[in-house]
Amino acid sequence: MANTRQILQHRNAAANISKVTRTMETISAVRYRQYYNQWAEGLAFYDTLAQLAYLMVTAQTHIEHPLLAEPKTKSKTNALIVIGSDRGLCGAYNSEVFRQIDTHVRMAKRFGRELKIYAKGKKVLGYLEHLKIKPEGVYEDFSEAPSAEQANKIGDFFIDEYTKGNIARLGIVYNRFFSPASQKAQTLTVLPVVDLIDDLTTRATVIWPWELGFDDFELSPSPEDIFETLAKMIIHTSVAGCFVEAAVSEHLSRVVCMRNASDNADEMIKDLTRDYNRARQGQITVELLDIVSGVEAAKG
Amino acid sequence: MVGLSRGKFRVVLLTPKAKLLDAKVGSVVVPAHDGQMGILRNHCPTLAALGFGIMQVREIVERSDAFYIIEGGFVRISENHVTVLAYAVTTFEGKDTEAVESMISHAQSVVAGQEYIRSQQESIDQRKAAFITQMAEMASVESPDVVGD
Repeated sequence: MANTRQILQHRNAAANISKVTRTMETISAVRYRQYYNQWAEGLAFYDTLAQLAYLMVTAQTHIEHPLLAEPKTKSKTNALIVIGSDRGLCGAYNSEVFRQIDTHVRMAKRFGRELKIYAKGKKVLGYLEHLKIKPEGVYEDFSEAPSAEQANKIGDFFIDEYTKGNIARLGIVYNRFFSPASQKAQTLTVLPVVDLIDDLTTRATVIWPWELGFDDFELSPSPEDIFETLAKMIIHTSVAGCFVEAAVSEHLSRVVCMRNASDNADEMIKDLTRDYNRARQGQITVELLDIVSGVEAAKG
Repeated sequence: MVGLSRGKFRVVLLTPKAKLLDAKVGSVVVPAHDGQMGILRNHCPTLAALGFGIMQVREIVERSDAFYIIEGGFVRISENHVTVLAYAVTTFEGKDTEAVESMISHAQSVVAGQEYIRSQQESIDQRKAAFITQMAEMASVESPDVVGD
């Protein structure tokens, strides 16, 4: 059995770790609340956007738009925005994202496509280095969620690349926040925009609540112009939304992880305390026995 | 126009960050891409792109009128539901008198062309500043206690 001093050291180490994990839990819990509120407040906006998009794609009137049409030159490049975290200690959060990257890399190889990866988060950069992939771009000018302007800039950049025919698809790999009980890494296809609308409109909340169809609406300006503005708005919001969702998921996942770690540390401290007491008791017993047997020996 | 003037309808103003307004109102004027657009109850179903301008919400149930500067977005009108989707919104709503006053004085200085003096403050462009001063006038006419000197 280890001696009491060793057990004590062990226990102190566990206590220190639990202090750290508890602090991290508290910090992440606060951040999680902030991002969660932001996410929850934005939901109505996304849903309404998606309803509009749904109206557009189910329209009887034909809408001609470069973002809707098949691109003339088929590009062989796929762009991928990968959102991971800067820090670790958040459980399977990053590894799930990495698994998605693996899938995309393998698929790109299989279908002979070039993959351009735009990375967010130090952990992602580390993993890309490990895979020996050089990221096409790195988002470093914001810490977790971009401001509206930054998100618009990112969106516009890819819209431009897409209309120029430099990329055929844009996907965002991130941890989607379904509910506080469930987050999963997934790839959201942002371009072509039809795929994005598909994804948005298949979410259960987005069923058009009225009997009116697209053709019942008075439109101003023309459908094409409305579609252009709408499509851009959807892309911008989706980009911004993905970053926010990723942040919500990251902090929640860290809260859960750190809570588990603190609980484990507490349990360990309890066990070690028991061990320590037992060892101390044993030591005392041994010493007493020594004394008693010494006395006995002196008597005899 | 019997029956058109008195009825109320629901207006929701949404931004990616928050739901700014959800109320029963008497009339709304939104800055459509090609000019101001007034909406009363029983408006025909409409989908319109918005431009840069002031959205005026009047005759709100149990509160004073509200004004918002909107920088592009959409308005959807269907079955007496008006949903305004806006990307960036500037408003006096929910701000305290001090913040509102500093915003207005800043806007006035921008309009007057003295922006360079106050370069330490967040700069806003000329048009927006003009809208802010205009919105201040509207708000002060309706409810002097909001702006108050």
